[in-house]
Amino acid sequence: MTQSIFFRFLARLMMPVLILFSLFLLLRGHNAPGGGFVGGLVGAGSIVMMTLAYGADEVRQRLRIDFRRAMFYGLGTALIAGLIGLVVGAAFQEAYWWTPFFRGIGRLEISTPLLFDIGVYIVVFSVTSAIVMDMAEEGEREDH
Amino acid sequence: MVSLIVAVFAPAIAALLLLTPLRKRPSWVALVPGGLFLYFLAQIGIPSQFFVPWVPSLGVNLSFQLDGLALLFTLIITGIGTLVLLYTSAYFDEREDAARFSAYTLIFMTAMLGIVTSANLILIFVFWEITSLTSYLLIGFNHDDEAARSGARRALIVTGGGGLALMAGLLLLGLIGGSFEMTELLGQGEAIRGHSLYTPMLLLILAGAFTKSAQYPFHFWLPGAMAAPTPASTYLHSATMVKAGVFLLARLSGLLNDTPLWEGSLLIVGLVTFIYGGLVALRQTDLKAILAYSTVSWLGALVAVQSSNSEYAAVAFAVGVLAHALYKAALFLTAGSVDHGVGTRDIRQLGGLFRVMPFTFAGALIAVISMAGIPPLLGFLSKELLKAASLYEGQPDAFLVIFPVAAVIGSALTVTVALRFLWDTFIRQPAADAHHHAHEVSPLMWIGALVLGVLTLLLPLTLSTSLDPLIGSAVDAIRHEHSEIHLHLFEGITVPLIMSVISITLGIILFFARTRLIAFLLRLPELNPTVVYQWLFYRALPDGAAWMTTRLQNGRLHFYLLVVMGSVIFLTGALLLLGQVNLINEESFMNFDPIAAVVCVLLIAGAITGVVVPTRLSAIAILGIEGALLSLLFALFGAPDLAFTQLMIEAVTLVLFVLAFHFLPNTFDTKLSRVTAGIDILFAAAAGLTVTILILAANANTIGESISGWYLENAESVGHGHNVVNVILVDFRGLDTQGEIVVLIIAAIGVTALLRLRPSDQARGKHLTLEVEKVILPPVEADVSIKVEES
Repeated sequence: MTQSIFFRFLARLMMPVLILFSLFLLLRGHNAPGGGFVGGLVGAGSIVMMTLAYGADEVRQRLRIDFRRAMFYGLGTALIAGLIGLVVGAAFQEAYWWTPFFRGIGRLEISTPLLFDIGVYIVVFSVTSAIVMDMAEEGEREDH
Repeated sequence: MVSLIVAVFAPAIAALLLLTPLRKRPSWVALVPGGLFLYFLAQIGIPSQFFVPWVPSLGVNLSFQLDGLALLFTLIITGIGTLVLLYTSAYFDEREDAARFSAYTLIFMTAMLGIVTSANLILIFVFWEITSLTSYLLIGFNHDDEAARSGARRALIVTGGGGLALMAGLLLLGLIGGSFEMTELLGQGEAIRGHSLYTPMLLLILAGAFTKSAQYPFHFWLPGAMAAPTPASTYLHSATMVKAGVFLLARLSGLLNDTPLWEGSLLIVGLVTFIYGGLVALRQTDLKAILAYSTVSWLGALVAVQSSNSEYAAVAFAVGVLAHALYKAALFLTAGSVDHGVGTRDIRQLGGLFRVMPFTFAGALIAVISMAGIPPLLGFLSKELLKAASLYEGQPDAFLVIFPVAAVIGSALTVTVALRFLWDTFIRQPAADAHHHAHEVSPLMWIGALVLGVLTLLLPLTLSTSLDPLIGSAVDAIRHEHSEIHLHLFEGITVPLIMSVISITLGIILFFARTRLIAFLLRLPELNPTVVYQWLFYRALPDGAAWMTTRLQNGRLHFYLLVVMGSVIFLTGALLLLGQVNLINEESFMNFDPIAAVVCVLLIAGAITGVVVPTRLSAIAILGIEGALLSLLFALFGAPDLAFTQLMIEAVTLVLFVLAFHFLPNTFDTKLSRVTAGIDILFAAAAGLTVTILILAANANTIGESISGWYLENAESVGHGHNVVNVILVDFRGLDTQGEIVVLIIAAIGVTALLRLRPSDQARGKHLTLEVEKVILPPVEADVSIKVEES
């Protein structure tokens, strides 16, 4: 935890930017550099910055996200993406694509690989955040 | 037929019903096996099949068949299952216990039905393992009891170990025969027997069958399993699961029998078990232990009888399985009722119960007469057929002497055990002050034994209508050829009849001389392999593991690194030297990239600086720079995804390192001796050299065709994406990613648990596993699991 006003300001400023950027990376991943893994890391970067600026306790209280539980939701999402292939088609994790057309928006590409990538994103995001926050918390306890 | 697979899985689905309010009335689920019993009864003489591909690329299919052999077993499984579930609902004082117990039993029932109806070797194995697991849960049902826990563990280790051997054996059989499907293997008996891998394959399969069916010297888990609640002992450890081994032998006999190895091992192991079980049963004083050893004994007979492939052997096997299931289940239920009504199972404290528990006595009486093989009960027929099979002339000459003699002695011991069970429990005068609280148990608990007893009595009297079709079709299925079976209780004065008379007389004589006989037996050494098991799993293995752990995992990261690097250097280095690989790829030296070279020089300089800087903070900073340079290198070689990810990883790692600083002094204050420093340098240099050679070798040697071209071509057409890396990660090799994110989560749990565990905690008996549980489980459940661990 730092007392630096400047760093705290920077962390708060960067947090939405990083989260948006990570979602951007996640969604463009299939066609351009990016994807769930790196997206999750970038997203977790925002939590890392907030933790460094405000300390793990405060981040935990403000965010009210239990990352240790969230990582299982991510795993569940990825598994569901795999199971869709098993239920609809023949094999576990067979890819299925659904491309609806919306007037005014355009053609969307929704697919089981995308859902799977979202699962990966959530897992990487929460695992990284959980580990960093636990380490930071432990350090703070050591300081007292 | 779809109804077949529905029938197999119906019990497991019924187990789910016990999650609903129905759990308050667990006896209702007995309707499910009851209905299945009627279904299977209607299938006599109508073979059916069901086939759905499961993993066709590996030859694993959901392929079921209901032939005569399977049908015989399904009737036993569902019929006795119904009675046991009814018994269960009255046996437990707590409804919750009864519901939980019934749920496990129903899952087991599906697994057992699966074993007997599977027509695919791998499918048989899957169900086989589920029976081992449910048996573990049922033996350890009263997990507050140390005996139950160790009995459950022992059963799991022995049958699970046998299961591994069985898997290897079945895989070999599948490889030799070219298929895992029974129907496709059938015609290849000759080729399989003549194959060079026949001997190891048979020994592995026998190891699986013998451990499951409690053959000497693997039998010792079965008496230990008697710590289970009595309904489980009745159902799993007498009527069904322990017969899975002999069932498998019957199922595969057409492929494997008729060789000296098969005949010899089955006959010798079977007969030794037959006689050993009978002798040891006499030494026991616990009702359930007596029954357990006599079950071991009869399982031995069922193995021995299958050594030859005569028609008599198949008939004796089929009738023997049925007769034993009926009378032994009845006796186990009786033992449970006695325990329930009197409060003890110690035969020395029992006696005179026929007055107090008349209905229980009636059931036990018929069962004992059947077990002793006294006409006209089903047990008599089964013992008679065993003797007829032992006289089969196609056996080797030596067997023609051993087998009949052993059959007579083993049967005589069975008679003695049966009579002692009945006499000491129900008839003889009890000690004056014994069990004045004794009372008859509720009807649900004696009806089962009585029904089984009545069946034992009725079946032999209606042979031609009831048993002939059932046994006949089972024999056809075992021998894969049609034979006309007509069972008779009395065929005139034949050799088997004379043998039966001898063994019954001998058994009665031994019964009257039992005091002296038991005293004599108690003086003999027990030859119990439990000692070996105890030494292996409670002494050798933990001590060895502790020794390894203290040596290898001494808590010093420095040493871990040396071990890891040393292994890599030694293993890959040895391989590289042995393989004499080519190291120079001229083509890659031609493409010299000056920018990359500059980055590399910077990397090398950074590495050297990292070693010599005095403080940790500067070392970490340099590591960060190295990572950034590395990602630059990735970017230069056209891997933007990799570069980006590497950069992010570096950033997060740096933060983690900085956070870890709370625990570490800033300067490297440990003084290394010259020798240690020398070893470190040696290892570091060797590791660097190995990796360099590996990279050169990987570049200069192409093994097989590279798959990258396929990925590049198909990413867009098949995977609908332009970013090949991502398409590989989430689609082509998505299963790998699935596994990796699981590993990631495990690592996160481990980190949290390790951080919470302080050195001082270990002295107070806190365990890492406990911390892990606390991380995973919600608070309330975590408390429960801690209590379990502590008790």
